[in-house]
Amino acid sequence: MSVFLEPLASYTITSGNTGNLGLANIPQQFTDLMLIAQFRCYTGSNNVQNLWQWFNNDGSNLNTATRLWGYAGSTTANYEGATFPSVLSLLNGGGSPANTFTSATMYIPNYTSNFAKQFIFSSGSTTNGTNQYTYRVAGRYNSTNPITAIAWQNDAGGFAAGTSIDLYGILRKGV
Amino acid sequence: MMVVLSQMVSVTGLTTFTNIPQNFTHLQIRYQGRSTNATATDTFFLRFNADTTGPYYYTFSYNNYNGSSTTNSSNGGYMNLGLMPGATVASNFFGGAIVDIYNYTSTTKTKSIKALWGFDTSSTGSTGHTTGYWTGTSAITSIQFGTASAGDAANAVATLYGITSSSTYGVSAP
Repeated sequence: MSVFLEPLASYTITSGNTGNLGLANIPQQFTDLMLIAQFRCYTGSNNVQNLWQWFNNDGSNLNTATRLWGYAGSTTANYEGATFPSVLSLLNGGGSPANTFTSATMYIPNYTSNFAKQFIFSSGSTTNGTNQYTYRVAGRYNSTNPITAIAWQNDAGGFAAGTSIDLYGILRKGV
Repeated sequence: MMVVLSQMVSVTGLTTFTNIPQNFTHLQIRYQGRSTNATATDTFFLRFNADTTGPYYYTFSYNNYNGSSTTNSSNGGYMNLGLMPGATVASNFFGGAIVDIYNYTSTTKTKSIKALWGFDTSSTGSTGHTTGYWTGTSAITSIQFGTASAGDAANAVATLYGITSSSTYGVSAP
């Protein structure tokens, strides 16, 4: 039987700030992964810090991304070649309006396969009516190893309380 | 993911989910609709907890057959999510949308959303990605949803899902 959004992990920063966020020992019995997350930087103002991501504690330049973002009347795209780690989007900083967060969803199909790993990421910063971004990212981790760990970091100062990451498993099986 | 409520609009109007259970982590609405307004497109929207003062901030990024655009804006009465077909397009054309609502029971966070939406009307169409937030920090207990000008046409469907995060898999974090 197929399984949709089986909770695998949930973590929330409850106080202070945390540098790297990471999930490890990801179960291998699902076909796809889904992440639902909210981020806020401990320092910095609106949308001045990047969200960085990498897999399997792999420090090699195996990450690429095609990004499409909307902001203040324009929509822009770019491509980032082979880097470590990969930049996904801009984030709410510590100086953005109180209690606001950048919300994100990421889908990783076939995370246990022996093909290169692709993912789809989308997010929105929620700062005020004139200084908000939307992001859609198609990314690739060019490794044939199954994904067992995912990590995130910002530019400086770590993540603030209220930042949360929820990971889900999806099992696709024919009827 | 569990179905919380499902509502099909059999007469023109808006969908309102009330008494939303508070035992999930995130919510998702899956929607298919069209407006009764006599235009080619109409705004579709949501409103939390019957709050008509807000404000609701949003960034509305979309592509259609002749280009792309992004709007950053705010609205006192509701969250502008995107566009749906209006009454002047063929009667069997409905648009689709998936709307994520994050950490809806939090009493400290403002409530942010993400919507993926789109429709095709033969020679034209639009697809978009909208993100935004409601400035209220109360837990969300009701959601009003639909097209803004004159309400949804018959056979519009909105389904609300709850997503939990309780896990026993032993994934290590942070």
